[in-house]
Amino acid sequence: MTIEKRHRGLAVTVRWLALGVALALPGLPLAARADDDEVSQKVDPVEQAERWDLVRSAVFDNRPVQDAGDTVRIEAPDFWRESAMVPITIRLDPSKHIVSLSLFVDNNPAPQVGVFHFGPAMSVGEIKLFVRVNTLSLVHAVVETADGSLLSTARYVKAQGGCATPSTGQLKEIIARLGQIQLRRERPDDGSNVVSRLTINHPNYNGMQMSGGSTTLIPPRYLEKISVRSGGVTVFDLDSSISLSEDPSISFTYTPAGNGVMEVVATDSIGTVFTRRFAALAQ
Amino acid sequence: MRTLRLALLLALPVLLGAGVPEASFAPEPGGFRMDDYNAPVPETLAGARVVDAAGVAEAMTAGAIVIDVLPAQRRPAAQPAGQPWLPLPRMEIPGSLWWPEVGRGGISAALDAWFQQRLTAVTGGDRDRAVVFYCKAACWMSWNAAKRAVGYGYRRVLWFPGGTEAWAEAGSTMQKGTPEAVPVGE
Repeated sequence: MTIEKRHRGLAVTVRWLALGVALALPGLPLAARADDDEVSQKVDPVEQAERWDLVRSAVFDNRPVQDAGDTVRIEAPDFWRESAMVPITIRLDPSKHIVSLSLFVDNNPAPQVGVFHFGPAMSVGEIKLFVRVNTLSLVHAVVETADGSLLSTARYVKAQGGCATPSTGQLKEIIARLGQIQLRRERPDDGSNVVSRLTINHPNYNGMQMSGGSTTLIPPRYLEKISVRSGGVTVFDLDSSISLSEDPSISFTYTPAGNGVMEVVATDSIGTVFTRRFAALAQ
Repeated sequence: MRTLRLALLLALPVLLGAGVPEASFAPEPGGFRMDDYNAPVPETLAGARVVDAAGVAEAMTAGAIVIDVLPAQRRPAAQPAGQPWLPLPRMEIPGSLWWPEVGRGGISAALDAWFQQRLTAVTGGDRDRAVVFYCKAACWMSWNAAKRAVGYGYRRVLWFPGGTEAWAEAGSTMQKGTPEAVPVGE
């Protein structure tokens, strides 16, 4: 293992640890220590509601979208310094037969982070991922249930600059690890659901970043589709966008199907396909 | 549990990247700010005058040119059909010019030349014409752009670090901006 990789692994661990702390201690005034970054980020509820109307109608046309109540909950830090990598947790009620989840950062230029289409091998419950947040924004989660209803919930997240923030790594290092796929799984106690975290190394360049030292914008190159299958049965297909963080990391739970072999296929916007298979967990 | 919570509390500043000084102002660097633009800015800019919203209004009345240097959103090529592209409108100081990208730390020779040519054009070549630079609050790009203009020999450069947030807070009107096309080819 090279030093860079070790460093990277550590960074990822710290990222998740920090998320754990931020979510475990919701009473802590995270915003209080961020005065400098938060200059005058004020919320105008009317403006935000209008913005959501615009985004919602662009995606769902005139379809009614109802309040999700307890069916969908979003957890996120009030303020996050690393705006290109803001942690979001979505909790879904497993009893509601949810077939898809769309996640939005309303005020991003590409507001739709992605759409998860859940398959039979998905254990609908908790999903964690990282998004880019360009400015103070509502984050919306909209689910579709089997009967075609749309249910929505939202919360505010403060961050700034996520879209233009340069990638954390050096170009050479990024290319070297491009397309590496990891799947960490927790062995289930009862042999059923498997809590997993998928990480795909990809810069998800959005076309608005300049790398340090360079004087031109990095052309866009980002993951468009991430498919996960267990024994050939779909866990989820994710249609993703530039609003997903670099090195996308997605936590989810699946129910092993067929021979239990996990297959991950990721396709980026210039047509590169990355595939990796993981053996079934031994019983 | 209590001990664990305390341990987490103590670890929190480290985890969240604190240890960064909480001072409101950053020291003025010798060169340009190269990255991490959304951060506390210096209190000063050598060769330029720092102004607040009232100072900008006053300068405009006296004929100053006002330039917004916030980068513009750029739609990625080949964005999949069905994915919305809805950049927020940029509300800026009425009468501003919007020159994206000229406040980056490193700019190409082509962009540098474009910046100089546009400045010459809008000032009529008068290096004593007042020129105000701004973007958002706590953003180094306006600092960089203003510093660049000082370097080009403009003698009445004004830097408005409060940016559009401070302008809005002062209750002044704003208008939707239109970015000029700048050479940022790949």
